[in-house]
Amino acid sequence: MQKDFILITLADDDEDDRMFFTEAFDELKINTVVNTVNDGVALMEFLNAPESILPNIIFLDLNMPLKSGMECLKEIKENPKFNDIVIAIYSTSSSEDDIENTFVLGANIYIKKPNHFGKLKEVLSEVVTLNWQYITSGLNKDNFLLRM
Amino acid sequence: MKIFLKTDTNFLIKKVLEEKLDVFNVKYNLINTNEILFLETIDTVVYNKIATILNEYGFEIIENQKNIIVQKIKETIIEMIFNEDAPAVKSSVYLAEKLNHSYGYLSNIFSEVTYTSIENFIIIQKIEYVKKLIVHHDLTLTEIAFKLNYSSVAHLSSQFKNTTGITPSAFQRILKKRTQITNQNIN
Amino acid sequence: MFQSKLFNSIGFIRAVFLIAFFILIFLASVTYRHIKELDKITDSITNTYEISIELGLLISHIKDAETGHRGYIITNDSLYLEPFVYARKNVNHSFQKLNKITKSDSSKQQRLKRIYDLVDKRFSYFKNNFSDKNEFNRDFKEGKIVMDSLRSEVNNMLSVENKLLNLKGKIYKYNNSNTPLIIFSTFLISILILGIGYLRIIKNYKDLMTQNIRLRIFDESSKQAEILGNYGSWLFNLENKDFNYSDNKFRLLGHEPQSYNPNFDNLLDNIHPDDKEIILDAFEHLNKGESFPLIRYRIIKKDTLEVRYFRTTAKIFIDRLNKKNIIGTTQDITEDYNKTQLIKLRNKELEQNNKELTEFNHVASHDLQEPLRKIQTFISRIEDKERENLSETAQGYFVKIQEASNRMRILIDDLLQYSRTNRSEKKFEPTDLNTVVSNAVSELSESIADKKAEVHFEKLHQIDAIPFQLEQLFINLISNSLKYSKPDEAAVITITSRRIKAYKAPRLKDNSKKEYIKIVIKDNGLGFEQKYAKKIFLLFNRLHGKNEFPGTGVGLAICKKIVENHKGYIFVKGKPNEGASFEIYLPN
Repeated sequence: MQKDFILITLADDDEDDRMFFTEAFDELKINTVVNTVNDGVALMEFLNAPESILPNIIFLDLNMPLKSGMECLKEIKENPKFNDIVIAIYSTSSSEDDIENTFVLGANIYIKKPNHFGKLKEVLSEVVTLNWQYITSGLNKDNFLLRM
Repeated sequence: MKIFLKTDTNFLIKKVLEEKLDVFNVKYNLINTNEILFLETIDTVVYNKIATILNEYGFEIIENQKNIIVQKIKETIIEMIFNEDAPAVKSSVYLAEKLNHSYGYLSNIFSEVTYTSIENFIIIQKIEYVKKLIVHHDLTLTEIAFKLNYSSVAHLSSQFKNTTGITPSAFQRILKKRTQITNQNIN
Repeated sequence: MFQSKLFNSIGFIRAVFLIAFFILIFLASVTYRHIKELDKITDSITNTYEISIELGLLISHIKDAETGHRGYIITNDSLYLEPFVYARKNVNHSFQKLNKITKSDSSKQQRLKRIYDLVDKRFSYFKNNFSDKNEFNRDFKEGKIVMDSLRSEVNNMLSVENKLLNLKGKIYKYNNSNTPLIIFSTFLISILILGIGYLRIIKNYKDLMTQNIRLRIFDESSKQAEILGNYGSWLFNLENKDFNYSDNKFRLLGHEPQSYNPNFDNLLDNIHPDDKEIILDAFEHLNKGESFPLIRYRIIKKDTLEVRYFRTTAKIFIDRLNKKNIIGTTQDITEDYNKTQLIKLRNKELEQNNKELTEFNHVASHDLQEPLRKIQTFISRIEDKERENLSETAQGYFVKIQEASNRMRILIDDLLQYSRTNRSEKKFEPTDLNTVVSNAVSELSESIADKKAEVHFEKLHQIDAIPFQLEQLFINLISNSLKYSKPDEAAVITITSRRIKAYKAPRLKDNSKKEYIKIVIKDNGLGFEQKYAKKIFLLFNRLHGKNEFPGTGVGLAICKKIVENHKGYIFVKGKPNEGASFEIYLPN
């Protein structure tokens, strides 16, 4: 487990969203290393690649071509290798049923993409700090549920 | 095939520490899971070796005094929350008494090291406990609110929702559905 | 006349006639008896008079003989012997007659015998030759004594006969006086009874005639009704398995009325081959002693060969002779069936249409969110990083852009919410209103804190509802109250609920005893004019300009839609500056 850096991966097909995401983390004063992938297939390839260092948190968009966020979520949860990764759904949808469904399928966090950059920074900061607290306090990751 | 385990982490930690420390043939006392009292002086080489071995098992020797205090604060808080028999006093009073420092001092150090406040940490821990009770003990929200000294179920619900973004009933529902799915997958 | 069954039955009529019959017999026998009596009496009278006459004649004859004898004795002329000779003959004649007349009566015969003996004795004294005068005097005297005895004997007999006559006369009078009365009264009674019987029979006959006429009319109107209603009736006799079809039943099957003999063999002739089982099965039920089920099946009409849909129901009917019959009715429901099919089709189309529209709404709103979010995020980026680089005017425009995009976002959110109330599965579950309202309050906790508002509610009821929709309902209503609160007064919102029966709530226009839960959300805000009470719920309708109060006019329309989804009603009462009170009725 990396101590000082938090490894974050974002899977989102929208280039503007990817830009917002990385810029937000740039402006936050947390030690993070962010990498992005463009779709679900790329994400799974990255995760499954033997030389990859697994991220601490994956931010997962739902609406992606080739492989949707839900499909990725299922695949990730099925693989015990990824048990330690915290999964945050990062999506535009606000349908209650969809949101609850992602939690049921194993997501830890659900974030509705905010429409204000400042808000985005707040949200991401909150997620990372809370996650950090979870890790340092040895709390049960399975019970870690957060909705922003 | 899947089996479910109940873990006694304290026991585990003690066992590992004992196993590893015994190798070094030094006299020591395991005061608790994070305090070892060496009964004899240890030189740096041995100390470093011990440190390395312990590192492999995820044990970190806390150097920093502040870190120690923070660690203590965390432990006290956890003990306060999880101990049902503890008298219902204000956490600030309890901490100050237990750790023999003013609450302001403790609060500052805590924020400096962890980037969050004691109150925040307390809330998180409480909510964690609530989650545990919901999942493992099948208590009702009223019972849980009473157990953790909330003034009402509404108060508990709103704190839960503020912290996690979902209501305790939604949490219950989600966890239930999760276990249903895992059971289905087994079958 | 009394209407009881007794007087109407055949038994009564029979009884009446039987009584009359017996009375007549009685009358006849009484009459017969009396006539016979009469005969007897007249016979007796005749009898008596004949005796009297004959006795009289007898005396007269003897007197004639006496006179003749005396004449002869005096004159010695044989001329005077003539009556004497005749007298004996006549006397014998009279005796013969008297004998005959009194044959039956032994006492009279005895008297007669005595008289005969005396007569004989008298005649023995009629001698022609007398030996001496002494014998002559003696014979005459003896003769006279005998004659006296004879006379007294005859008189006795006569007086006896007279007495008898009187007696018989009295009896006769006595009988005479009663007989007519008896006869007359029995005659009257029998006439009376006959009269009653007659009237009864006439009435019954008249009734039968009217019934008959009614039946005829009924039959006729029934036939017409069958034609109009497209049904036919039939009768099935369980004993001889014979069918009886009404005219229209034949027509329904495409035949001429009464054109053939319906029986079990040709029962299935017109039935659609796939549905023959249904008919047979129904009659099986009868065989098992169960009731005839309501069945639906198809037939192929004989004349037009078209398929028609039929419905048949039947009932067991036990007639007066205790025979079991089945009375059934068959209706051609093809029209209804076709109409129902059409309605089903249309409904399906409408539902499909509705679904598509809702989907469209949802997708449109959802997909519109994306670009809007980008716009707003980039706006926030510019604001953060580049605002100073803009000119004053540009900054002004920029603010307008922000406001406009904010409004757009709210509108899209509201539209999305609106589509969601239609889209979701209408799953009802027991919902505690207290939980719903406290969730809503939780959602709005920030706004409530900002406005320093208070929301009071307690002991709300539990109803079957869609929880998330009710939550949305309360969120919208509470936020509405918050939005329109008085600027200088802290908003106080009170929510109450109670049970109420439909007829007690005049607004519902429902007089039944159906139970509703009435929820009232009252605030102390700015209120509005009551005349807009209905408009307020219209989609996109607003009572204020967008510069006075923010809003899209969708919130309350969503509330109305949610209440309608629950088959409830929503009303609002408002007074300018006195706040508004929303009343929601939800069926329990």
